Amino acid sequence: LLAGFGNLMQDVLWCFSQVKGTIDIGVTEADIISTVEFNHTGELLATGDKGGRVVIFQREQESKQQPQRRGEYNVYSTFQSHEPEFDYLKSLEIEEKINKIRWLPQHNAAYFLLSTNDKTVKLWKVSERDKRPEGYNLKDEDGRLRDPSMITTLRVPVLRPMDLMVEATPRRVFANAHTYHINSISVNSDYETYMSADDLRINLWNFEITNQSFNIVDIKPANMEELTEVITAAEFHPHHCNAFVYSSSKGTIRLCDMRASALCDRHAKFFEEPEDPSNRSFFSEIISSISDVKFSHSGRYILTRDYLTVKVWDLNMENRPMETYQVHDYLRSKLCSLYENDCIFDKFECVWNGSDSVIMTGSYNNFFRMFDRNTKRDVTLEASRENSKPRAVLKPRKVCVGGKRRKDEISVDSLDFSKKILHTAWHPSENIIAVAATNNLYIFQDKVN
Amino acid sequence: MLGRGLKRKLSDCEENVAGFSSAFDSSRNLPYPLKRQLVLNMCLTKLQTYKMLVEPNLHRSVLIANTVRQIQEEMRQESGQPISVCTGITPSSPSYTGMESSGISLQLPSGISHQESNCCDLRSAEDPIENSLLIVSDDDMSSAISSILKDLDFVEDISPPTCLVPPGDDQPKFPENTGLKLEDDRQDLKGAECVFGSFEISNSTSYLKDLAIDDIFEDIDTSMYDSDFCCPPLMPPRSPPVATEEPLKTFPSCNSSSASNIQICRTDLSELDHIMEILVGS
Repeated sequence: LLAGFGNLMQDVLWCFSQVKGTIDIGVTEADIISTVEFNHTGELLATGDKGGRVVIFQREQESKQQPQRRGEYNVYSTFQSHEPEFDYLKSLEIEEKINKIRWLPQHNAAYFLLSTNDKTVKLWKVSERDKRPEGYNLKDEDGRLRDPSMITTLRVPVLRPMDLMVEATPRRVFANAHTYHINSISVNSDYETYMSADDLRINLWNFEITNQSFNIVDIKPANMEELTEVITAAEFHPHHCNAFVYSSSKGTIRLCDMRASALCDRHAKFFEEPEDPSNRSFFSEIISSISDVKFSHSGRYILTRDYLTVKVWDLNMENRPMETYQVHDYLRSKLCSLYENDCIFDKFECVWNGSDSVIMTGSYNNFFRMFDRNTKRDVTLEASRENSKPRAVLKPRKVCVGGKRRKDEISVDSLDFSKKILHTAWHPSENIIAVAATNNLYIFQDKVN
Repeated sequence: MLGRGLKRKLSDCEENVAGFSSAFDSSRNLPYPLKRQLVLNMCLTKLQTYKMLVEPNLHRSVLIANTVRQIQEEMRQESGQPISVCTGITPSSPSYTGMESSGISLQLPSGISHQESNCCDLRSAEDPIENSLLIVSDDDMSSAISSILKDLDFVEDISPPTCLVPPGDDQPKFPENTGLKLEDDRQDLKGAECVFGSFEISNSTSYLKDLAIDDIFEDIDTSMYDSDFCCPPLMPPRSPPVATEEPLKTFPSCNSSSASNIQICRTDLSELDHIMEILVGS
């Protein structure tokens, strides 16, 4: 039962399901989760971390014997996707941190995903092996080569069952196409191409061709001193393979049509909200920078996240968003401190639920927020070990903005700004969410009655 | 990375700034110009810190530079200076449609003498507290932003693959005016030095060296700002981007604004030759 459908009198109750990761107080930087993504069926959940590793969880089959354990996610495959590199010519270290993972739709037994760091995109094939060939002629069972002169008979190798092994192999490496740091990748609905976006350029790739890419957006000025805007995120339209959007550091979104011209520097649509003069501050531009952009599943709306809000835009209305939701407006009076400690540059992501009726995004203190677009109700929940009893219902949290603090409320000054939830994911069709809190991955599900 | 003594001063500065920023947030009584100056100082400190990184974050640098420009524009307007004096060459690249018309180009300060007198006027603020914070002039800010953004471009750029991009208007313009700009920067700096008569701006071109500071500004460390306008960034003239890049010319150590670093450049190049010889085994 999806939120927004069915019994509207009842809000969805979210329960703790699982948590992955260690409880250690000292967190190894490499274990910090940097991206989370469900595949198209929700059967698989992938995470990438700062150490360049990808961990894929698979949902176990629901069993009649234990209906309350609704399909737990268990580790399916772990592999090192990217390694740290050193660019000797520029004396630069290239971080191995996985910035984004995107799944390809499945069309055979194997799973395919794209993972990227700052510079290189890789296509990984994850496949199962549960049989192995036995009875080679030239090798014995240990793999040692036989002396050919000792072979007197020939046999045909047969496939025998073995313990299930999941292996990940890199099938394509798309390198050397980005001078600046890649912030987004997006698979096209034609399933033949995908795009990668960095601060100033967007490239279009064919999955089969790794040694060239097609540059479709280039906003680099002739003189870098004229640079006042960078690309912050990009995504293909879910149905129209010619259309994509990209967001900027100035709070604007451009919809581009690849049919119009080879280089899509002229947008088809330009989305920008006029500035509210009453909210103007020195930091207005910085907080207007869009950190994430996502098409709705329907393809009719765009969701954007800037520092203090999430906004829903109608593709047919360019001059202002359709809906604006305040994520943590109490931070508006703290902007100078947040600028000073660089928190103001944190890039929060945002997601739609499967029916496009609820949107979710993260905040500080391991809080995350959900907004129901139909009921206009919102809730703040927390990902913490204290609330981690099996099937425990999450209690809504509240931040107190001054005046008397009620019990169970937390004051703005007590918020832990080192505990930030930047990455979240929502199952494509069910009320299951994955929330990355530093090095821990929390999975929450709605309450089963 | 910072020289002896500077690191300690930086953390002192950070402590002061931390105190300021929470004062900014909590107090309604801070006069607006003071708030603005605080923010400006924080911005310039950050930009300076980024400048010392091998690979500064482009997104953040652009956001901070825009904030500085915005404050700069506001201060100019307050002083009654007409905007037209301050704009340089307007961006002409047609491929960039997102450029706002209010974006101020900071390449060639055309009215240098105007800006000098403007700086002097700003300087004559009576309030000694405000005076102590008015460390940086217009030109310094412009030069600071210019040099940082120019440095960001020094990352060896893989141009869009030439095999598939159609030629024509969409081609990036070649930066032919870099040579001219260096000259104007030098003039700009001479102007700045005249204004800063009482400053002892050392001729040191390396940010690592200590700078003597005038008595009035005893407790404010300006050495971080000074390095930007001591000497123009010495960039080798850039040839038009071609498909086959010249890796050797984009050595990161050539980036820094100092003549001594050119020496380092040459040393590095000869070291590279040496390494190549070993690798090739000749």
